[in-house]
Amino acid sequence: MEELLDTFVHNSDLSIKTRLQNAGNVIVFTREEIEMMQARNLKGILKSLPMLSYRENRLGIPDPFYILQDLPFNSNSIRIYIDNQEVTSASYGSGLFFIGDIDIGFVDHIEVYSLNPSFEYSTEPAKYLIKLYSKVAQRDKGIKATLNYGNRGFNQEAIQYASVAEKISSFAYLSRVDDHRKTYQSFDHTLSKDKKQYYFFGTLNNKEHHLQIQSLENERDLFIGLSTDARPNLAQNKVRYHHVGYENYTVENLKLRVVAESSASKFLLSNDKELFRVSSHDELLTVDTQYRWHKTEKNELTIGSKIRYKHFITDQLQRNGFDFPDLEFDRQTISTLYFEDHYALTPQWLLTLGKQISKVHNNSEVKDDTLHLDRVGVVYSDHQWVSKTFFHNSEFLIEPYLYTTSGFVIKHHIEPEKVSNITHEFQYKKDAYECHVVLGYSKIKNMPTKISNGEIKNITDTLFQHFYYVDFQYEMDLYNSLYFGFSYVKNSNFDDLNDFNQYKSTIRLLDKLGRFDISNEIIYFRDTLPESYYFNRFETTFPNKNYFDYSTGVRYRYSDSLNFSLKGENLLDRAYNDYFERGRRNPLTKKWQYIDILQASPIEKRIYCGVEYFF
Amino acid sequence: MSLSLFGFDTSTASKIFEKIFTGIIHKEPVNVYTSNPTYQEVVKLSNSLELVAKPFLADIVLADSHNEIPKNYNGVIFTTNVSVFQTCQNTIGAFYWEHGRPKIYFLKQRLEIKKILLHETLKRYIVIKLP
Repeated sequence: MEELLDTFVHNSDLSIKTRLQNAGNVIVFTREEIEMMQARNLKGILKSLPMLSYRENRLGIPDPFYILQDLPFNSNSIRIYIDNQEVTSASYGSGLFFIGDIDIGFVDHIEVYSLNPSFEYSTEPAKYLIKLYSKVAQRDKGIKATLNYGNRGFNQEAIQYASVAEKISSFAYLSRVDDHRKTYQSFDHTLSKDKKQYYFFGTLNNKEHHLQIQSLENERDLFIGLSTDARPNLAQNKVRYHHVGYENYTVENLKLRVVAESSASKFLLSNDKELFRVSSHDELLTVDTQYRWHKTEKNELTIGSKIRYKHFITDQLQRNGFDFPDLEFDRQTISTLYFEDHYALTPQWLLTLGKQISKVHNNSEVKDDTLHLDRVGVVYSDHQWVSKTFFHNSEFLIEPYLYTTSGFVIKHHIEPEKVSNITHEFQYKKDAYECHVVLGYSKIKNMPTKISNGEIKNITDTLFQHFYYVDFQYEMDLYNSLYFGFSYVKNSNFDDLNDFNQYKSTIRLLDKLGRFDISNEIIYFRDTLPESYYFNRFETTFPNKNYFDYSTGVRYRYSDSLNFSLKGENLLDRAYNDYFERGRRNPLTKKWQYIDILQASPIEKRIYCGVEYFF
Repeated sequence: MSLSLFGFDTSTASKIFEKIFTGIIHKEPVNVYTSNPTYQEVVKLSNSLELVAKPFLADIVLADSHNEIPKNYNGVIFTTNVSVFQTCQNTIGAFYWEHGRPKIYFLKQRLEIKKILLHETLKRYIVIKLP
């Protein structure tokens, strides 16, 4: 009987994977995998993804698309949802800015889509879409307390409560993280990424009504901050974020969703010459409706609309005690209409067509925009084979922070970034083996970049990206599995750089031996960008080329109500690095007079131990 | 649509209920009544269980909520809902998720009232008080 129960748990997880075939190119981390990997934090998942890596920018903020730029955030095209409600920042776009390194103790499973999935899952243009699904009260009834400790004084405490009444279920998760990160010595200054985070997540659900509440407070040291020579005297940030979302499913096939979000942030940044004080607060309201019409047995049409209203208020933007002039640009409204048609040509072949138009209205001299999103796909599926071809054409909004923060000057309109791509995926499954091959090609126009005088401009050249990804999963039995993934990304025509490549490979072994859950993972990474960038510009060679991040963990299930865990992360201390320029710029030409490279890994060598108790 | 699949493992659930019900009733097939469409599929999939159309024909009733308990039924009930297990006196056992794991419980006192002797493999799931 116990083996049957293990199979039931295992297959309940796997069923989540199989139902997503027509949604797009997706990678799923099941609950079993997350628990066995002992991923305490979202970055523990993001670092294991093919193609994408977890990175932190000059401000120490999670920013997977950070490449050399000193923008406060570069990853607004990675969108993040929790239970079908997007976490959004009015200024920065993606909620990854707030929750990119969140404690994921409340999460059941995670889906990561590359490019735009079906509009059923998200209507935001995205290069990557991360969907976190919270634990379901029906499956997690009771109270659970978790304590985790790590070296350098890391500590994380969480309590979870779930209950089910006849018609209503509730779930609540409260967590506190006090993260003491590795410090870096930069000349005579110490750079810190220490963070304190308080997070509450709660849901109240019945069959027809879903309510979600989130509240977050982050206090963090901002690593280098805005200091070009990496000698910050002060680099601190405090952010509060609140989210209330309501979904209604009273009418069959009709979804109605209203989400209100607010945030407040304070930045304090200084070096020997300058002191910046920036404080702002944002309000955001999103209302969307979606109707699925089963026209015939073979044809399903989804139509929907969404209105997003943003109000971003800069309370203080001060340099050396002097206020910057108030910006008139403080409101943005995005109205979206979309449709998607799924047509089953045969029981195996499915054709999908989607079109979305968004009108962006800005309240000041910032020009209005119209954004288009097109999605065409052909999916073949039988018992063993799946073949998916998708064509996407997306235009990305220029998020307000590019105009409003850090004194960026609005001199001209910034065109929306345009991305066209085609992907093809094969999937083969037989018995205990499963294999995916993904081939893709992207063309990127109007990518925004910051030029030396601080102004944001579109890159005039068209950038090209080829990407390939192969993965293989072998389920030896119910209790043991092996995963191997390899990805290759080639970027061409990228600004004034040579072509650069990224290679990433992950091997993961998950085993259950009696009461022990054992995980082993090694991630290999190589990025040729810093080699070419630094060599071309400064004739500086880049020492580290190959990175290995080895992590291992053991969880001991002492009883039904008590678990102990031990995990070592990046044990070889050779995980990939983020790289930062530091030096002195000529005050007139703004060009570097001298430069030095600071390397800092976002994944530090860490030992964690933990205990979970179920009441 | 042709490619959508369900998130419920009907096949394994069927094997689990087969073991539970044959371990309670000690005969084959066991006549099961349930008004729940998902669990009707679960019962139909098993060779050792027989789905019956009326509660009075059943050896056991499987209920997922209070509404699914037939009126004036005094026979043996098994549930997948903790609230039904806690409040309905005719419910001898339950199978539901708790702390992320599926759990099986039988309440000793109610088994004794119904004079049910469980199969050896199910005895480890007997509890003396409601969870």
